[in-house]
Amino acid sequence: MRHSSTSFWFSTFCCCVAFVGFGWYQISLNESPETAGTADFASKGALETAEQCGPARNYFANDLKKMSAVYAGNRSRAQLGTNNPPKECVSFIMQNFIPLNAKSGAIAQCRGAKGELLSSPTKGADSLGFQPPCTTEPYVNSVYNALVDVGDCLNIPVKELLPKLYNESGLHVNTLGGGFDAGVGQLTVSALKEVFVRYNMDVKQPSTLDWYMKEIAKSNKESCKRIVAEKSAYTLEVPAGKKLCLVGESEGADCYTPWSSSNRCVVMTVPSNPLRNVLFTGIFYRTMLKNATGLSYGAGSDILNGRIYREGEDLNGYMGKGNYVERLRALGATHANLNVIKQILVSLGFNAGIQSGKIYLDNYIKQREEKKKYIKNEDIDFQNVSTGKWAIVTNLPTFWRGLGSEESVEFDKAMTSLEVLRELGVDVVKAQKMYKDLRPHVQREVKAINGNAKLDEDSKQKKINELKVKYDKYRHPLLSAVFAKSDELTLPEYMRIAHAYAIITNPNAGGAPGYLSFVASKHKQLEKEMGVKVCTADQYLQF
Amino acid sequence: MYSRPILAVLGSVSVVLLTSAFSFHARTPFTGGGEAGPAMKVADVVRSVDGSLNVLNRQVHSRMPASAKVEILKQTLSTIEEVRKQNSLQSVDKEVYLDYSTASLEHVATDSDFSVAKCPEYKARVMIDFEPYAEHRPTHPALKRSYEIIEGICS
Repeated sequence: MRHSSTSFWFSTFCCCVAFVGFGWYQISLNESPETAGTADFASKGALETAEQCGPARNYFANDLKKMSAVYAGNRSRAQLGTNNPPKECVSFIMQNFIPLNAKSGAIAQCRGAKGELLSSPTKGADSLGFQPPCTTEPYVNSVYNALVDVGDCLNIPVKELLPKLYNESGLHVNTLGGGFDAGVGQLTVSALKEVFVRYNMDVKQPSTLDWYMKEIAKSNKESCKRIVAEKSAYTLEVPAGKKLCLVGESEGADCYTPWSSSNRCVVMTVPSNPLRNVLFTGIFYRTMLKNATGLSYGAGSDILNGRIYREGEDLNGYMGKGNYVERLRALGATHANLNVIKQILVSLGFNAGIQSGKIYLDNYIKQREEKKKYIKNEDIDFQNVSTGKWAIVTNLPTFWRGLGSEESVEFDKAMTSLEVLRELGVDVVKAQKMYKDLRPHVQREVKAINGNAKLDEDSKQKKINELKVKYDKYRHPLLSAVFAKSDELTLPEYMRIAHAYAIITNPNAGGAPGYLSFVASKHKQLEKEMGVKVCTADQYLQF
Repeated sequence: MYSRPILAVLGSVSVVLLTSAFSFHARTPFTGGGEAGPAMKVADVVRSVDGSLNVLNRQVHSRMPASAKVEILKQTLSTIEEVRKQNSLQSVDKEVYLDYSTASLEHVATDSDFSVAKCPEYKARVMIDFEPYAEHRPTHPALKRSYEIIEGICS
């Protein structure tokens, strides 16, 4: 009897364990982040055919035929690393960057009307730009293979890069930004200068590009070997009668300077691109990583203090000196970690300069330490903290809309938006009075421009743009007042305001205030559409 | 006949008046020379740092060996660091401005192998690290001055 009682309880226990185990398994099947969304991501990133796109979008077809099969062809599973995103991530991003069936000013070409190669990109005879390229198999392969090879060879997590590149270029070879930022990596003049300056500013060293190619050639990785084999990616064609110059070394007429905006097709022309563009982006990333962490590159590995770096070891660079993780944890952000800090510094570095990002972060922490104002983990969450409410002071178009638009609803919206100033104790009534007083002046000037029959549409738009700049000076004191107290806000809000302030004091600073928040929202979109961790990193811009 | 010009003048005047009346937080522009001497408590840290760097900017444009100019740069940065340490932390906008002013010169001051031959790279660094979109010269007031100081050191 006693024996059977034990057996009964033992059987019951086993049943419970089995039931709970089975239930848990089922729950995990349903909720596993690895599987969520994977059922339909392939259909979302379906490739297009030349017939579907027509000639208006299939303009890379001939150039892609000249590309080696290693980059234009499909890769076998064995050739792909384990943590690479599927190719559908690339085609999905390409198809969702901008509408496919309309011309866009963000899309340029490096061939003229007669098919001739250009050195500076064109937006067509009507300056309206072009439709995005057709996402055919060779086109998507060319970008995907370049990304996974450069990522693997230079130790750059591709899944961390995708939201940033989605936000900037939609991974298109021929995206051209307002500041002449070009191609997949939206390379700016500074990014290109970084590639063509002597490595470590050492006069005995070759250019940064040549230095990296030497190190890449020492690596045993297949990805590195494939890059080395594609000479056209890192060997530039210098026009006859000219010589390739490095940054600052000569400014003579015989100097060929690849970073000049007049030569931007260097990083856009197919078939040397997209690999060349992605390689340069990778080198620029590594340079910023070196500043941020002290990690240098050697023969395919991360090097710190002359040794191969192991994950989790202490870092040098800004992160080592700044001791950000410990400081943030001491302030209450207990989930602070090196990887997210690195993402913040390096990602913002692309847009605002690596030193700017570091200075912004450093000063946020410094102010909180001084004021003994704690930081919650949620205060560092770029994915979930909304920064849009500050647009009335951080973005000229938003500030202008309520002044320049005839619609009184726009004016009312702007007046309501100004209420946000109250959060930082800035005088809202005074700000609203200023805005209200300005409107009649602006309206009168806009009317005069629009009613001027002697001006064509382009000239009118030019005059309106000048007017926007003229009245932008009324936004500056508001932004200045907000910036002075912005450390009281969350990090994403503060970063947006600090970046906006750098831009008003410097028209050439470029970039987009709120950049990290925009990138984080692309991360969220990719997670929603393609599944958690399918195209994205485990942790991104949030603790 | 004269109504349009008069309206335009009145409009401009009122815009100017609005600008002058509406000032939330304007940093007083630097108007005089500051002390580049020993570290001390100062009434206005930004004014003091601006003063030191403006003096430095003038000094490095005078005739002397580049190595001597780098020494003055190092002394100035060291004095500024001391001034900032001895005075209370400024508001975040001012601290960011001060960091821009000094961090943009650090790569010259900390280069143990300083060489005039590296000047193009020193200048390029100011833009690469702070102004990714600048093509020829920086325009942020603090960076513009740093660029001029580097030009002076290199001249």
